[in-house]
Amino acid sequence: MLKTRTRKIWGDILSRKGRTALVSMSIFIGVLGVVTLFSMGDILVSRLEHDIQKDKLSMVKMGLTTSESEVVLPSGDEFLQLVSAQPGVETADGQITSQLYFKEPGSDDFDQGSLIAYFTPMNELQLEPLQLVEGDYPAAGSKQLTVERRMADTYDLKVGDALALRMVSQAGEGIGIPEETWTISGIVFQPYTVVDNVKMSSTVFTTFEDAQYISGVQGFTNLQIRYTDYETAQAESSHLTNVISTETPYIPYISFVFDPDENEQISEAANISSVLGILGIVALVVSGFLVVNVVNSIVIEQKRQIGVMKSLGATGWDNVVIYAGIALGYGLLGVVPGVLLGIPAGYFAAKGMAGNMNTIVDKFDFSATSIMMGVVIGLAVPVLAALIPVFNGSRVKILDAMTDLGIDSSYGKGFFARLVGRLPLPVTIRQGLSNVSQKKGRLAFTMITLAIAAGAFMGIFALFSSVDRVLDNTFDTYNVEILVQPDQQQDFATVRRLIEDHIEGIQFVQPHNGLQVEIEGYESAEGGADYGVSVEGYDPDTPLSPFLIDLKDGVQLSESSDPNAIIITLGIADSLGKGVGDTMVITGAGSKREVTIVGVSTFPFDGTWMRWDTVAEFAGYTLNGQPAARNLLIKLDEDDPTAAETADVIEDINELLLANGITATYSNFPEFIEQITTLVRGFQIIFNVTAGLIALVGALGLLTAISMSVFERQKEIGVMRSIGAGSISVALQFLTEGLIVGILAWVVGLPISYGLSQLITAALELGDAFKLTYPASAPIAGVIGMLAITALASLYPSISASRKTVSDILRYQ
Amino acid sequence: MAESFITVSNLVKTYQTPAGPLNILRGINLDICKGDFVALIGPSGSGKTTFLNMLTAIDTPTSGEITIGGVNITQAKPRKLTKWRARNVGIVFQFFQLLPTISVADNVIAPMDFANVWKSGERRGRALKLLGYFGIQDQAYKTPDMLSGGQQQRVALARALANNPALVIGDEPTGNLDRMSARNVFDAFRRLSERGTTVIIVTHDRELVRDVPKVFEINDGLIGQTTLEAAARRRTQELQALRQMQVFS
Ligand SMILES: Nc1ncnc2c1ncn2[C@@H]1O[C@H](COP(=O)(O)OP(=O)(O)OP(=O)(O)O)[C@@H](O)[C@H]1O
Ligand SMILES: [Mg+2]
Repeated sequence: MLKTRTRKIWGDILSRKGRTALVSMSIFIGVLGVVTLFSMGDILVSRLEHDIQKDKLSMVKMGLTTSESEVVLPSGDEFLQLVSAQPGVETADGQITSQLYFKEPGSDDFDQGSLIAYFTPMNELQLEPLQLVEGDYPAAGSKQLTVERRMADTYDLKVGDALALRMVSQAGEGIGIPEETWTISGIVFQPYTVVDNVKMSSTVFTTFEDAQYISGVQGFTNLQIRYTDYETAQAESSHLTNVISTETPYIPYISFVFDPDENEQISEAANISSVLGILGIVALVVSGFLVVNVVNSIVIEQKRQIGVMKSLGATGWDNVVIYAGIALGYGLLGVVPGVLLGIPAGYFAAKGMAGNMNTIVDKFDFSATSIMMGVVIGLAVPVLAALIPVFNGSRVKILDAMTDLGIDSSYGKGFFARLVGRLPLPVTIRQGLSNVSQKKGRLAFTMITLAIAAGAFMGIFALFSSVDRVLDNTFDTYNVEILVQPDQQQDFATVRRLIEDHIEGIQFVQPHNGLQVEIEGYESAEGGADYGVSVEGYDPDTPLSPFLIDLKDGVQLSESSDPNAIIITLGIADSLGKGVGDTMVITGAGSKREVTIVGVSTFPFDGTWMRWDTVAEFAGYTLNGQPAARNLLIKLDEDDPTAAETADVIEDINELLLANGITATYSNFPEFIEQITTLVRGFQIIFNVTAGLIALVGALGLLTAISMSVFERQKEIGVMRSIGAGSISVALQFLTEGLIVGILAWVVGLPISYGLSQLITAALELGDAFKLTYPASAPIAGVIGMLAITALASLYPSISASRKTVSDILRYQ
Repeated sequence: MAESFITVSNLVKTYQTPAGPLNILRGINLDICKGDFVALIGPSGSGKTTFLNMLTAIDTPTSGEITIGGVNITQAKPRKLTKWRARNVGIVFQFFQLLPTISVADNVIAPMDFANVWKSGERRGRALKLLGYFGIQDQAYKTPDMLSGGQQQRVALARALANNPALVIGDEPTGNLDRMSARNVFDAFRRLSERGTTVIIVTHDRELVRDVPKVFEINDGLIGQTTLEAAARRRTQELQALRQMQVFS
């Protein structure tokens, strides 16, 4: 019994190779997508979970700075004792994060990287510890350093190799910047995200004393704290900034609270892979519709065979097994190569994405659950999809099968058919229309398939054009290219003059003060007030503003503005229920102040703008007791300079300032924009490829449906040809059928695309700033794509129909 | 006279049509013995296929009973009937109806598999033997579409005999064959009946009918055994009627 069924299953699968190829290929694509995308996420997440120990994560990370030119800092021990003595603090550690200039001895130019040192000895780190990969931790005072393994990979560095470093601490007028040669004592791995915009591919770790020696930075630039629990961290972090501000010369200008149970690296990797994986499942489900169509047509085609088999003693169950088995066979043909290819594809995708997720996938890995998922879904989808047609087929009675004349008794009836009959259309188009109405069930499935594909495509299109709009809006607000943050407080006027006198192509140098504050009554839309909001302090007294703030309400800051005037974003205004003319209270760096809202901006990320001198007063940025600008904002003459052009200017400024004994950190805005854009484009490509796969499955579905139409209508085509129909009118009939389905799918796809883009936005936790706007270009791109796909997918069967000669067709009779 | 193998009593089949009830079979009574070779004739539309479908339990009568080999097939459940049919009835169709995607040998194995008779290791050997019996063993591993019509019908015969059924039924089994092939098929039926298998076939071929020992004719919903002379007379009348129509038209 089993053997005849198996033979019949494979006989049927193999006898129509073209159709089998189409169905199996669509399942293959879905399985490949599911296995690859889920494996990618799984590999990354398991990598991250392996490397990131939850109980070693810090809960608060703070950026520290100092003001005045000569400050007396407490010793590291004293300071950390003070911090540790605060309520709820379990462990605290201080860091120096500074810029590093290095090169391999003998090479010409210095590269820029980061120097990181922990106050706690490297082998005793309690928070976010390093892993020693090779060699030893460096010994203090012996010119030893360790490099991060990604830097070792990038520059091909080994233990024992030497690096030339610039001793910026010893720079000064007339001396220049001395160089020293240091030795790599070891290679370490830092799996935790240290500070944003530190690239591990150029990061060096030294002892704390050595970092002070190289950079000239004496105190801490960063502080990380672990509290007894996350709730305590949330409740106590502003108390801590207050204590630091008031009891030490440090200014905690920025502070973040992290939930160790929801590590952002891990949850981001998990989110992205599950969103993509779900799109993979959608592709598989879409291929399920194709299976429904194909199995349905097989059952109809083989109605007589079913009758014969029953007359030979086959039961209804035998027939269920045979036709579900055919579906399972299609599934197997898709699943086996899908899984085999998905395993390496998942590994390489994980390897490729690892950099974005701040981790490393260095040896082959696979995800058993993802493979299982691919196998189970890949086999279940076709079998489940086949159930209804199979069940219908199994109920075919011998008598019905043997007497079936194959003429649909409802032919020509129904509203649609009558309507089509009346329309003044060419016969071919009319026939195309009536094909659609007759094969409603099958074409409905094909249509749903394409609608999902169109929905995915347009949804992703809409999503990314929203993201683009938000980013454009964000980038446009910054009317500067460079932010200079000197390590020590400088006299702004002196540094400005220095730069303006020596560097070409500078449009303006303006003062800047930044600080993170908390606003009373404000709750971030992301939930909780964990992040605070930034205050950008700039000089509104000049005609050339470094910030081009789009206002919804109120006025820009100006010379005549009140010192306490503030511009806030719409998000803050909404959260507070306040507007222009209202006051609000900000706290930060140990101060508290009532400010007056003068403007409300549409800037997508919550933040505020004030006069630089007010921020200086508030935060304690002073020089000789006077409010001072801690940072400088620089705009270049050139319109839209590239990242590289900006980097050149930064290098010149850096050389100039170093020669004058000023060490600083530089931000290159065009580079930052390029990085974000590249990142977004990367995701866009992955998403679009996924949508493309769904579209491909949809197109295969249409191709199959139209081919089935052609196959079933051979007799009709023969008749049409024998009464003189030309090949074009035969082709046109099937092309029309395809295009009608395509257009319907597009219409149905519109709401799907809207819902999908909303869902993805929510699932990726893009936050409130990325409120979805649905651009008109999405449906336009959708309809163009749809027409192209449907035309292409219907073209082949249409042409093959038009090529059929009368004798070709008679051969089948 | 031998004991009756098939007993048909008061068999009625009425179709409900838009134009009112259509009485196709109006109380048929019939006995057929084991090993009988029976031909069923009658004008087109007289109900021959309808009657055969009742004998194979493919269709159900409006009233009346059929007992075959002691089994009342008009009262059994469909599931039981499938089993019964698989083991006891071999059907030969006019258009052969071989399964196109599996080999000729596999077509013959199929009923053995479905009915689960014979040991699975013996089935292939038996199929080849049956094919050999019909002289087409060399075709065993081709697919049906590669065979001629006559060869295909011999495969269908082999398949019908796969489970050694007590009853073989054919609805115009030679309708699509040339004279030579048709005669071979009829010879095969005769040999079967000589070995004790009951064979019932519907045919329009008067010449072949001549050699069939028992001929029944369905007419006006009733059945009666007919002599060849009667059948020949009918045929002459039909031909005359046809000729007259051609003359006057
Ligand atoms: N499902 C049905 N509904 C209504 N009438 C039917 C149905 N099936 C068969 N008939 C009618 O029953 C009559 C007998 O049909 P049947 O197929 O048994 O004739 P037949 O003797 O086999 O004819 P032929 O020699 O042409 O094959 C015909 O008039 C046919 O139209
Ligand atoms: Mg008939």
